Amino acid sequence: MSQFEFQAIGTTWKIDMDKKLSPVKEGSLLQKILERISKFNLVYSRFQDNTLVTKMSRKAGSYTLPDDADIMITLYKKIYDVTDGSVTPLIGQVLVDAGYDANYSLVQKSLTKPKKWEEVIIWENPTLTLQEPTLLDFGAGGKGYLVDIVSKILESEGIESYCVDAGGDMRVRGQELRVGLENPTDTTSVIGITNLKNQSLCGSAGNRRAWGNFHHIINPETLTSPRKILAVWVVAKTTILADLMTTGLFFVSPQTLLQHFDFEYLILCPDFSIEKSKGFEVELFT
Amino acid sequence: MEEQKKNSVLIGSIVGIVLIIAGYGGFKYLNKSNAVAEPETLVTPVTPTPIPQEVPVDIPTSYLYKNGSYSSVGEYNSPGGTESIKVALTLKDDVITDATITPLATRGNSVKFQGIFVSNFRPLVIGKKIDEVQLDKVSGSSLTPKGFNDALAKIKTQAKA
Repeated sequence: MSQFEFQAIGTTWKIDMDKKLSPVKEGSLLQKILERISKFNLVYSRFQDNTLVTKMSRKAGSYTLPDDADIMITLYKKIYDVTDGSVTPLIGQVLVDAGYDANYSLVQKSLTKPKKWEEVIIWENPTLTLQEPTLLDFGAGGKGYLVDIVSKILESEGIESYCVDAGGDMRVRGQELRVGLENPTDTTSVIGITNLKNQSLCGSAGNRRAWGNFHHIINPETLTSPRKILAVWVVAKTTILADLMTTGLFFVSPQTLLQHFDFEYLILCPDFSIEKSKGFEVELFT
Repeated sequence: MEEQKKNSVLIGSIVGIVLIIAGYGGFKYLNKSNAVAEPETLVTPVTPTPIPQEVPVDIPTSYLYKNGSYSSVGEYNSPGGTESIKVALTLKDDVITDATITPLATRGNSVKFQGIFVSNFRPLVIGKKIDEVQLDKVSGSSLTPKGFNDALAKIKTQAKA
């Protein structure tokens, strides 16, 4: 089998393929993947100074986005509506002011509630018009989406059995994997094991990327980080969906999301109790 | 000990909880059909008969319950007729170490309400060391961006100074 391991978008990527590729093929495929990730980053990252998102934060106006934008922005708008604005790309400036900025200053300034989607964003594929300069943040679904995009590259090369893992958010096709659900309070242990096949799994916990009173998710209304969930895992057909749902579950009930999206979930509460959907198959260590 | 007492009370009340939830189901059902009857009067719990599945050998005198697996079917009257739900528990030293709820409802609304109860029934997890289990992958938050962790470490150092 062939394997790639590299660092990108601030995390470790591991790609396992059942097929053994020739060294030449491996080289060209890896290059293709890295270039694609870089291209994605140059549009959507708010951690780099030269990206489209950074440009948009400085000047209002209409911007032409690449082909991959429609799927992501449409899904973001849907979850924005379903969560009553809680999951929003407009959270960018709040995250920065809370200290989660490009330099990871982790020093809090005063926070201002983000505006409503309708006040700021007009999306007419492929044109995104910003009514005022706004720092957009695609952190809730961007990584998951990039996992899907990289997976599509593998599939287009005839690789059908693979796992693309970006820091624990992963997409599996053609093989079955035993995946441990990490205990957020003790990362040398797991709270359970799930078997993953032809699905994506994303996890999110509020304990690691945490500073001061915040973690990486901030409620745009209360400007605080939600604390009712210790960790959450979501299994879905695509990684972007799984990724967005993990953030959504920090804000609204699973039932609310399940009325609009197809996924399975497992929530670990601060008292270490578990709440999960029936279809989330897991062996729990109770 | 306090913890054990709490747990032992739990086994006695768990079937009761199931019946209360089922009663709530009946209440919701009634609301929908605009019935005026008080929901409480409709729920007639039938005393469940416990079926010990394993006969434990050692009986420590200091514990209230025998170690082993137990299951019991609780019945209740829904507006549509009698429904039941199965509760299975594993007890060790008066502590419930495992619990499973199996919905046995046959009618539409009861199936729905039992389903909601089952998906909200919350076991407590303790966890297992990663080196004790065979895994292909781990999913969680351990692979936090390196820069973030470095920054955090720096701040912690500054805070101590």
